[in-house]
Amino acid sequence: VIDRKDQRVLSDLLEPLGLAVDLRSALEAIPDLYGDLGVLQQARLLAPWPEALVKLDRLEAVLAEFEDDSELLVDLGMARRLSYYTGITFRAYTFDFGQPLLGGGRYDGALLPFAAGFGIGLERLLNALPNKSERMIADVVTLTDVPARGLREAGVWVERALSDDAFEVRSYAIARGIPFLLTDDGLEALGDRAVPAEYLEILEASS
Amino acid sequence: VSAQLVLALPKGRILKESVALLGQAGLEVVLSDDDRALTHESESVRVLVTRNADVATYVELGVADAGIVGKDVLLESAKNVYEPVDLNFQTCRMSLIRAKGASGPIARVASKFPYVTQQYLLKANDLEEIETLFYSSARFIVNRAALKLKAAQLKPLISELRIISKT
Repeated sequence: VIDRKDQRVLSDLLEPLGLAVDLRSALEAIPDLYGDLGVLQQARLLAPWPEALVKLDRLEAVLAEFEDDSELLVDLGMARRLSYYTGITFRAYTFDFGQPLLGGGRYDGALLPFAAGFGIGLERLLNALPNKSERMIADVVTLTDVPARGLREAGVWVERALSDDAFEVRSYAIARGIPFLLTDDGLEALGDRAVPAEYLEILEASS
Repeated sequence: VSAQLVLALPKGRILKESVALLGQAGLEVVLSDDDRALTHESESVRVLVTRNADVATYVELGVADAGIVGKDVLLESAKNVYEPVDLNFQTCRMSLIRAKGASGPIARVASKFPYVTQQYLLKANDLEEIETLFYSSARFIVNRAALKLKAAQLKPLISELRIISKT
């Protein structure tokens, strides 16, 4: 009921339980505790009990690990029906596409003592892409993450290599027609096109 | 990001009532004069007029950001949507009925709502005395992604609708 944000039925279910007023209003508020990180502060005010505060502190500490939290949303009323989840769960959405592209969470003990993972809906991902009729080829394939950020911020399409083996990635990029390879040593041209001066300037500026 | 809100509303009586309610909540919906039109467009909102049974499908898939549909039809559709507001109109109840005085075991049930019927009858073993299965009324339903990504438009609308439809 909470996961469906069905406030009406939630109230009907809580009413006969005879709960203390503050506890009942905290439970009734859960479906509406979604939005930006300000939600955590709202939750602290609604549930000022040590057990709840410890969990909120923990959640806040995890979220503080994000380098960029500008697009992060929280929903304290989200429940996943798969019972193996043991902690935080998450989904990823994109604008003007009504289905989550990705979903997962923490599932300690299911396979390993500490475990987390997610699944990507590849079909949804492809449907959510604009211009899906064109063949999509990145500008740069990268073996390194930090230098790639500056290029991405400047609008360059940078694809993360799935392998750490430079030889393998070079062969992949050439076969696919990706013109440039980024490693910790810098940008390398894989075809006839010389590395654009603009890319080098971006890399220099962001290093 | 499109700022326009897309709503799925069912044809017929519920359409006019929904438009009036949304207007009270501050969302001006203008229906075009053509009674048979299937979409009605303004700058802030686009209305898709659908069959009652299709509203929840449009909303679940995100074709519409939100919609209005009876709880009975919503339960039967078994769609994964948010239902944050009970609009308290189009009320009715879903009951299990049988011939007066009948007392034998129930062997067969006739229903326009086969999914709902199965859910309820499987849950309870001995339903002879239970008449009302549930009460139904119109619900404001919202796509799960839209509620988060269009919260700026939907959150105030939801709280207005809740205030208006409190009985």
